[in-house]
Amino acid sequence: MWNKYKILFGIEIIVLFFLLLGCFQKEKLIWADADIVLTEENILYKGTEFSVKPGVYQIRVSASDAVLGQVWCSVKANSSPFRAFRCNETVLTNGSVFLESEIYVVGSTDGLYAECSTDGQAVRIENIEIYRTNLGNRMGVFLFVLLSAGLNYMLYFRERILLQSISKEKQFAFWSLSACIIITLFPYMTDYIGYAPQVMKLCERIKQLSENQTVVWAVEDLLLALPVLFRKIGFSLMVSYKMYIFVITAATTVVTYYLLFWCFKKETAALLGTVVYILAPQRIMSVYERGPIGVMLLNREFGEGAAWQSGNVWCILLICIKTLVVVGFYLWLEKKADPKIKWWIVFCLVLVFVGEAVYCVNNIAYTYAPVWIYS
Amino acid sequence: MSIIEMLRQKRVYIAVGVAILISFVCVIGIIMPGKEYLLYGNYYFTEGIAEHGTVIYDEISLPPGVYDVILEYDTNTSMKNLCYLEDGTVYTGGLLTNGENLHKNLRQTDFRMWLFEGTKNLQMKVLYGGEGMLITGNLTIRETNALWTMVLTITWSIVVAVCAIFAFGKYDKAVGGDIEKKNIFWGLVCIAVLASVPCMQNANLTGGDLGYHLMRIEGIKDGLKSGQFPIRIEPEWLFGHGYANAVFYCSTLLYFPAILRLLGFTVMTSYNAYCIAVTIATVGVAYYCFAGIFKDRYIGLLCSGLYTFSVVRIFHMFFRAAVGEYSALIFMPLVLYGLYRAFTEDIKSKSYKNVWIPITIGYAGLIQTHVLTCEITAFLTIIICLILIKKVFVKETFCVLAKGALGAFFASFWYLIPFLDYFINEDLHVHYVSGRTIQERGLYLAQVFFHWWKAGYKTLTNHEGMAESHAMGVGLILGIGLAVFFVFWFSGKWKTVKAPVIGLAKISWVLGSLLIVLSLSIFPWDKLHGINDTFASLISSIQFPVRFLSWGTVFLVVVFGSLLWYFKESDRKQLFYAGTVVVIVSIFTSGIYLMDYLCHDRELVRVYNEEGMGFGYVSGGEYLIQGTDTSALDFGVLTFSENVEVISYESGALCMKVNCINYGGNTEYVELPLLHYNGYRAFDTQTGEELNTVKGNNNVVRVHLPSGFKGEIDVRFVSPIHWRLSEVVTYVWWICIGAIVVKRRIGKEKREVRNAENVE
Repeated sequence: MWNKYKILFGIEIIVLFFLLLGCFQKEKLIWADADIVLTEENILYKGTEFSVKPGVYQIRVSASDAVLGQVWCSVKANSSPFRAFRCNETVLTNGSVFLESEIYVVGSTDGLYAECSTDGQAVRIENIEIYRTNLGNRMGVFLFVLLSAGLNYMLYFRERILLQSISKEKQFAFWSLSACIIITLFPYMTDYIGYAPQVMKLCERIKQLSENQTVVWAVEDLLLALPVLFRKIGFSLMVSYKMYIFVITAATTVVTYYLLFWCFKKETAALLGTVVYILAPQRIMSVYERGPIGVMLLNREFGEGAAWQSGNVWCILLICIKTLVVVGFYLWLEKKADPKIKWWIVFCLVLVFVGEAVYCVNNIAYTYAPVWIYS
Repeated sequence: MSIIEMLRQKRVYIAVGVAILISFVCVIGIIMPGKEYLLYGNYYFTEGIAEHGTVIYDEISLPPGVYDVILEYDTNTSMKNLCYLEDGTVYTGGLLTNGENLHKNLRQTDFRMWLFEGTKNLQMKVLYGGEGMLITGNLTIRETNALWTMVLTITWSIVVAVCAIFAFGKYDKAVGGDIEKKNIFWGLVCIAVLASVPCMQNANLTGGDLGYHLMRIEGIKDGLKSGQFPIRIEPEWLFGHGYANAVFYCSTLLYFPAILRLLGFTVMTSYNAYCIAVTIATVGVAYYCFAGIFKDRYIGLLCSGLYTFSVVRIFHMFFRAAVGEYSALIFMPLVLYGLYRAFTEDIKSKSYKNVWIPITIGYAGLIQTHVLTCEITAFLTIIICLILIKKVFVKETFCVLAKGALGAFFASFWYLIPFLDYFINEDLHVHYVSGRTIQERGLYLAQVFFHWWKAGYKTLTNHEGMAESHAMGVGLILGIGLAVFFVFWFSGKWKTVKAPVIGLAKISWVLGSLLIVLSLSIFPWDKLHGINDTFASLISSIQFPVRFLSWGTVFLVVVFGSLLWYFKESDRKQLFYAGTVVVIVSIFTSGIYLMDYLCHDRELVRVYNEEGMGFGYVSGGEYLIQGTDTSALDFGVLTFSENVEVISYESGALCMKVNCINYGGNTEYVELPLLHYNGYRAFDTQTGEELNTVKGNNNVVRVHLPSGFKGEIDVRFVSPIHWRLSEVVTYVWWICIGAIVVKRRIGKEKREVRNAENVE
């Protein structure tokens, strides 16, 4: 394996080295303006134009005194290639004096400018600065490591398949479970996130945990350490959340498969059970509608017992029971039914479960209003 | 058993007898002059007071029939007032008419009305917008023979279908025939019927370009009516100024609905009939090609189903009403099939000599339906040829490919020469549309593999996400095929299968994936657009990245078919049947599910003729002469210079006769309501002398009148001689092809007779 792919590994190491070097570059000031006064008569400030190259930038705004009303700050472009730069309008709220927000630039863009506006309250902005950060390089390193690891694993996996050292059942399980994960993540194969109140709350919490040093971590926040980490690396809030959902789904799949395998000692039974569990519409709805730690959140929002009252816990229990019933039925078929009939029954069952899940994810993708949250 | 033998049966004779009897009645109806109903009266509308639905003629009694309605009027505004007919007593659908807008330079209407039930309560109404003056006058309702031509057409269509069923019944009884063929036949019939359901209603589903294509049909009809063939400039379009749409957007297949229009059917019915015909052709051609590629009829049937119910086809046909693109889908599998045979068949076999035919028909069909799809096809063909470069330079293969290309070229020569002539020599608006960027119109990955589509209403999805968007993509089932094929490839499965089908599937997988990437919004189209003007122009002309998915679908169907083929060939019957079940289930849950939503949710349009649409809509106006202000065009506006007096004029389709005098001492001019595309010629009718024509104000035809000119000038559009020669080349080419086919058939029959004699 090493001999066959040593050139590839060598290239990966060299590229990684150069990417790592980029992570140590210092922030560079791209554009700045100072001492801007917004008043009731003059509520809008538009900065001079500047150009940017691909990378991750930050807009930093500092007010001289605590803001009384609200100040909206953003970077806009007169004209730019489609989605070449991505950022949200951010707000300096009552009492705050400093604002920092990321701008993701994926294509060279000219004619960018900073814009600030108030709700009528007089504000004196000390500085507006646009910095080019090394967050893009950090993201590059992370993604490269991830992709290289994935590629290397797949090559290793292929070698083992060709050497026939992996059973067909295991291969089948690997591909089927990968397909299940992809199906489940279908609504996130976009450049936005579907609007759901609980998901927005989770994103808000991730934002707080990643940006505010003073926020106290609660027990239910432990799982959010992962998206917070992604955020710290430099990914946008939305992408961090999507990656988190991916990790959670993959982990759930793997854990379910191994637990069922441990219980029933049968690859096919474990696979069928995992498919039923992962593709359960109730689980999918939980992910996209309520947020993956919906039960905990519900408890926090509405007090102990809210999750029970809302039916969340019952839903989760129902998925578990449904999985066990299907696996039990399969094991019964194994013993009693003719192999051909058994095959067709299982095939039809899988078709129904997959169809149900596809309908569910399609419906979510088709109906949820899009939201672009970068920071 | 020959066809004549199959038709020799009593019930066929009875059916034909009944048809002849009906035809006899119809012919009498056609020959008999139509009645004319005259109603006298005037109605003065008070200026400034809008009136909606004012009845100007009431209780008109008419028997069933198709009528031309001529209402005299006088107005000084255009497109502000409308006259129409209504009758609350006839059954729904018993009276078909849209009425007609009133124009300041016209003095009477001339629209058609289809009345299928006798009435005594027909009302002529006018919608007066309140602007300008309007006086209506006498009403003439003239009976046409269109009802009888319609009955005649329907009768013979039914008789042909019934006789075909009888003949098939006799053949089946006598010869028996193979059950597989019957299954396939009925399978194809089911696909065609189910895929045509949205067209089986007395309305058209709204589509982005529907109005434009209905105008194309009307344009062909008007052109044929005026004696123009082939149609180059649609005469009535742009308020009688003529629009050279047919020069650029070939209308070969649209002659079918145009002929139905001439036979008396409404444009709505003609369009629906066209959609059904295209669907039937798509089903048949797709089956022929896929069954030919996989050498398996059932796989051919399944692939035909996947292709016909593909999201892309439904999107083009019902969401966009993109006639060119969904018509082009008929020919795309033919090109692939031809190329597949050219590269895989034994070059020494006798059938190899015929391999160029599908390539020729495929390419000629693509050129004559949708040039952009043809360009994409040419690009993909070049890639395939580069991949298989060694095979391309095998003498026989090269000959076949060259024959295919030249065949398509000559078959389309009649269209290409005028196209290139105008494209190079005319300053058209299409040369100025390079500013349009397309990346924002790209898809999300989730859209590409979406399965349960509904009738959404958003086209440009990237500003609003994919919620409630139009159905676009290749669909989940083809995505599954793509993934499974990859898994087998990854696992080294294809190393052991040495069949040309898998080679084709591998190329299809790569190209299919590439085309999917090109259709995504993440593909940097805008960046490429900014490189230079050539790129900008090319990319702008693509308009929608989703266009790449037409070919993407063809390739992915091949990939899916190859999996089914593999399961069948490797004797994994269970998997083959499972694949079959998956295909059928996916067709019902995706294609048919979507069409069901379409029929239920999508708005319907009922347009019966061009008067109902107005005459001005040209979509993007790509084929207008640059600088033409379409809002300034109206019927019958004649302008002339100071010293000219126009005594009288008479206008026809792309022609005009003007009686005028030039009192001045210099060359003066007269401008006619005709758009000046190259080809207009003016003659003095008395001397036969040709007068100079140039582009006038707003690009209309301006005729220069020499000093002291007095007389009649005849201005008309005359196809240039090189256009006519190009038509001759195509005719000669078709005659040669016919001769070759006949010669080969005779040779084949002779060989068969000789073989039979030798056996005896």
